[in-house]
Amino acid sequence: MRGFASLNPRVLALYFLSVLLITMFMWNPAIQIISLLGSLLLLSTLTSAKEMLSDICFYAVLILLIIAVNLMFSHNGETPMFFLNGNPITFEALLYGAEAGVMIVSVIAWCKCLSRIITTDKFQYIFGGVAPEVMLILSMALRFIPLFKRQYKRVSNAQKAMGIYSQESRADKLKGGVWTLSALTSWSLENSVETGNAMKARGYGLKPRSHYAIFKFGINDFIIALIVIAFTVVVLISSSLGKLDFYFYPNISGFDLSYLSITAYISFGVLTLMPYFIETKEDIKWKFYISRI
Amino acid sequence: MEILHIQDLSFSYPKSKSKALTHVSMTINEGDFVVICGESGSGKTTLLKLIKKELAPIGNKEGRILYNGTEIDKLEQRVSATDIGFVLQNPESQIVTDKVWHELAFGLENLGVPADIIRRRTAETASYFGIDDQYRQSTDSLSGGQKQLLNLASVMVMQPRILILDEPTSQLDPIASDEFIATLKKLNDELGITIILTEHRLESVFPITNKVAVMEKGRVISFDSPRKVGNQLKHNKISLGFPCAVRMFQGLDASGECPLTIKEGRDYLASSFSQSKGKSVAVTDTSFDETALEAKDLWFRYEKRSADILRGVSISLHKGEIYTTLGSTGVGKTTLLNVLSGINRAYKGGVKVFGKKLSQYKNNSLYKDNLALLPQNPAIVFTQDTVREDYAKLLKALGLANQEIDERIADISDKLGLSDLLDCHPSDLSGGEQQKCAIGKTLLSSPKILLLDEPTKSIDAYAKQELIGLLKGLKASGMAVLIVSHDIEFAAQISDKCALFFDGELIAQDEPHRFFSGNNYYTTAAYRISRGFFENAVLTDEIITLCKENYDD
Amino acid sequence: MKKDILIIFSAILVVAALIMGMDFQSVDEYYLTHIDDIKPDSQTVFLSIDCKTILENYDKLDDNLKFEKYVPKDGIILKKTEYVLRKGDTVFDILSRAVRHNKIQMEYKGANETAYKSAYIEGINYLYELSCGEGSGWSFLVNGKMTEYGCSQVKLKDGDVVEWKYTCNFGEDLKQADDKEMK
Repeated sequence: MRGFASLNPRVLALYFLSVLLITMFMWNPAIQIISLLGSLLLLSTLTSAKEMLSDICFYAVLILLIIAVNLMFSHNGETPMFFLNGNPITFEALLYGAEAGVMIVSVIAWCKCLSRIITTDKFQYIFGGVAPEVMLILSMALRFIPLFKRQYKRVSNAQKAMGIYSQESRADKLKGGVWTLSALTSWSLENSVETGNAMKARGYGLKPRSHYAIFKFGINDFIIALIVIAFTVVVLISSSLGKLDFYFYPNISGFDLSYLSITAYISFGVLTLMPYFIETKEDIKWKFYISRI
Repeated sequence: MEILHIQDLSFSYPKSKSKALTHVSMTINEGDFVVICGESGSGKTTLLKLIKKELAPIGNKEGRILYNGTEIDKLEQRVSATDIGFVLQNPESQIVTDKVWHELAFGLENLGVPADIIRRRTAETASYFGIDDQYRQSTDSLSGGQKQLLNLASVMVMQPRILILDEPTSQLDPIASDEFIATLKKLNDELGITIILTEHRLESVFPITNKVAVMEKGRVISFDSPRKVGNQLKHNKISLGFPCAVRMFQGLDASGECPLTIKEGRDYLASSFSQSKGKSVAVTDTSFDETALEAKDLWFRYEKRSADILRGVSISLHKGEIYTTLGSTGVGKTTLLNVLSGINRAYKGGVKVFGKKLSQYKNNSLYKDNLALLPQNPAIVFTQDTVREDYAKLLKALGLANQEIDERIADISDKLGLSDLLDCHPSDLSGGEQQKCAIGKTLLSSPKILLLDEPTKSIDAYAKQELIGLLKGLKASGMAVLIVSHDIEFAAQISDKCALFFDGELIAQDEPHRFFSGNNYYTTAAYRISRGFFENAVLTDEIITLCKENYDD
Repeated sequence: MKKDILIIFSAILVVAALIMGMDFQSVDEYYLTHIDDIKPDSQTVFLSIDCKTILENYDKLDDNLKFEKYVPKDGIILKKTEYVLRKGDTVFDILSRAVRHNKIQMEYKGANETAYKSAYIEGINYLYELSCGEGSGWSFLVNGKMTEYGCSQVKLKDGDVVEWKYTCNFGEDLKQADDKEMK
C-alpha cells in the first residue's frame, strides 16, 4: 500500500465517484478523452505490461464495435458518407459513436482501477459507518468463502482416493459431487457453531458495540479531498452554465473556448491525472533515494 | 491469591446416564500455569467450557465454580467476556473476520471500546505477539501456527486475567506448537496471567507448568506439581503422553526427584547409569522382496509458473514395510502423497504400482484392491450420517453385492475393534475414534498399499499406541504402508525406514535407529537423553531396557 | 468477461443487419431521383412540409437546432408543390421522392422495424421527434385531415393535398391551426 491507494478509502470513493459521474454525464469529447487518458495511465501503474496490452486491444475493439452499432441505428447528421437501406450513414454518427465508445471504455477502465484500489476491507470501511452489522456479515462471508473452497477440495480429493467417483462415468461423478456437498453442509454447520462460540467467548452480543477501522483521515487526505471537491465544482459550474455543451447532431458544434470552459478542462485534466502523478512521484522519489544510498 | 475455585463440581449431559464430571474440586491461584491431561473423553473439555459462562454446555450441573469469589453463572457478562479468555482447538473455525487487524479488534468492538483505544491496543498486542507485519493481511493467508497465534492474540487484546486453552496445538506441527507453548510461557512469566490448558503432547508443556491435573473418566485423579505427578502416576496409561524423561524415570521404577526436561533426564542417567557406556541397541535391517510402489525422479508443480514442489523424488515401498517421510509443514509432504496416489500428476517421472504405471489403471481400479489414501483430517472421509452407512455406500460404489457388503463391514470392524462405533455419527466420535473408523474405511477396498497423511495429528497418546498396534498388524499381513508425518516419536516407533523430506527431495533414507542417531536436531527426545550413554537408543523403552540390562550385569 | 462483451456487441450488429438488410447506396445514387414531368393527363398530388409550430415554441427547441437552416424564418421547409402520382403511391412514397429530389435530410424507420407495420418518419431537415419538447414530432394531414393510419399505409388519389407538419403538442396544435385556416 502506497501512493494513491494509501489515501483514506472515503477520499478514494469521493474521487472515483466524481470522476465517474463527470465522465458518464458530461457529453463532451474533451472530457471523455481526458478521462480515458487518466484512467489508462492509472491502470498502467496497477497492472503488468502484458495485461495492459491485452486491455488496450479489448478497449480498441470495443470502441470500434460501439461505433458500428451507432452507425446502424443513428442516421442524424448533415454529412452522409453513404446510404444504407435508404437511411444516411453520417460522419456525425461516426463521431458520436466514437464519443460513446470512449466514454464506456473509460468508465470500464476507471472501474477496473477502482476494484484494484478499493479492496474489500476499504469497501467495508466506506460503508461501515452506515451499516456496521451488514459489514460484519460481509467480513465473515469473505472469511468463510476461501475456507469453504479449501474444504471442498480436500473432501473431494479424499473421496476420489477412496475410489468413489474416479470412474469416468458422469453419473458417478455427479453422485460423488452430491455426497461431497452433503458432507460439506454438515461441516459448515459445525464450523459455524464453533465460530459462533468463538464470537460469544469474545463478548459478541454485548451492547453497545463500537466500530474500528485501520484507516485514518490525515492531512493528506484532507488536501486531496479539498482538491477533488474544488475541481469537481469548477466542472459542474462550467457545465451548468452550458459552457461544456457539445453537439454532434445535426453537425459538430465545436468547443466553447471561454476562460471558464478552459478552466474546467484543465481542472478535470488535473483531477484525472492526479493519481498517476502521485504514483510516479513516489517512483521517482524512490529511485532518487536508491541512487543516494 | 486464589482466582478460580472449583468446588465439588459434577456434570452430566442431557440424556446421558454417565456423568461427564464427578466431584471435581480444584483451586487455582493467580499466575498458575495449569495443564489438564487425560484421555479423550475424560471430561477435560467439559470442565474448561463450564468455566467460561458463554460456552457452558447445557446439562445437569452440581457444585460451584467461583471466579474471584463470584459464582460463574452470576458473573456480569462484560466481566466474563473480558476476564476469562478462551482459545479453542481448531485454528480455522475460530477466526471470525477476513483481516488480521479486524480479527484483533473484534473483541474490543464487541465491548464498545472507542476506536482510538482499539487502535492502540491492537497495535501493542500485534507487536507483542510478533504479528505486526501481518496486520493488514487477510486471515486466510496465514499458516496454521500463525492462525492459532492470532486467535491467542485476539483473546489477549481484551486483557483477560485467566486464559483457557482447549488443545490449542493439536492441529499444529511440532515447531509451530513449540512456538505457541513458548508464547504461553512468556505470557505467564511476563504478565503473570493465569493459564489453564489441556494438551496431548506434554513433552514441552510439562516442564513449564506449575500444576498438572490428571483426569480419568470425569474425575481428577491427581492435581499437583509436575514432578509429584510424575512420581505418583507410575503405572497409569495416561503417562504414555508424559515427556520422555518422566516415562524413563517411571519405567525404571526410580525414586527421588522426577526429571522433566531432556537436560534433567541426561543428568539423571549420568548420576545413576554413568558406568553403562558402550551399551547399544542392535540394528537389524529387514530385507523385503516384493516392491509395491515405486517412483523415480518425480517432478511436480501446481501451476506452470509456480515453483517446483517435488524436485526429483525417488521412493520404493515394499510389501510388509512401513516407510515414514518426515519433514516440517508446508514442504510438500501432502503433495507427495497426492502425486503417488494419482490425484495429482507429476510432469516428469512416473509412479508404478505393482509394476504397472498409474495411467494404466483405468477407471477406479487403482483405488480398488490396490491403493488407498487417508487424508490428514479423518473427518472429511465421511459423507453419511453413520459410519455403517458410509461404509456401505463406499462398498456399493465399488460394486459389491448387499450380502458381501455386510460381511466386509463385519470383518473390518472386528479386526479394528470398532463395532461399537458403527452406528455413531462420524462427527460425534473423538479424534482417535474418527481416525480408526477412517482407516477402517480405507481398508474396505482391501488395498495392498496404504498411504497415511499425518495420522497422529489430533489424537491422544493412548490412541496413538492403538494406532501403532493396528498398523503393525496390517504390516504383518503384508500391507505396504507409507506415512508422512512430523511426529518424530511416532516415526521412530513404527517405521522400517525413515526419510527426511526437504527441498522437494527425500534425503537420508535409512533404518530409523540409524536415521535418528545420525541426526542432531531432528531426532527423538529419547535419543537426545541417551546420546553419549547408549548407542542407537531412540525410544524411551529402549533406554529403559538398556538401563535394566545394565543393572543385571 | 471481455469476450462476452465483444460477442454481445457483434451479435447486435449481425441481428440488425439481418433484419434491416444491407442495401448500400452512395450519396449521389441516393439523391439521383427521377421526377416525372407533369403532363396534362397525369394524375398529381400536392405536398408541403412545414414546422410553423416551432416558431411558437422556439424556447423549447434544442439549442443545437436554433439556426435558420434548420428552422426557416417562415417555418416552411418545402412549399406546396405538385408531384406526379404513380400508381399505388402512398404518403411515404411521395415524401421520400420529394425529399430526395430537393435534397432535404430525412430519417425513417422501415415498415418492418415498427410495431404497427408502417414506415415511421423520425426526422426531416434534422428536426427529430422530441427535438422541440415532449410531444413533438412529425405528422401528416391528407386534404386537411389527420388519419389514424401510418404514412406508408395511406394510398393517394388524384388531387390529394398532403401536408407534413411538425407538431409540438401531440398534434393538438395542428388541429387549431386547421381551425384558424378554416375560419
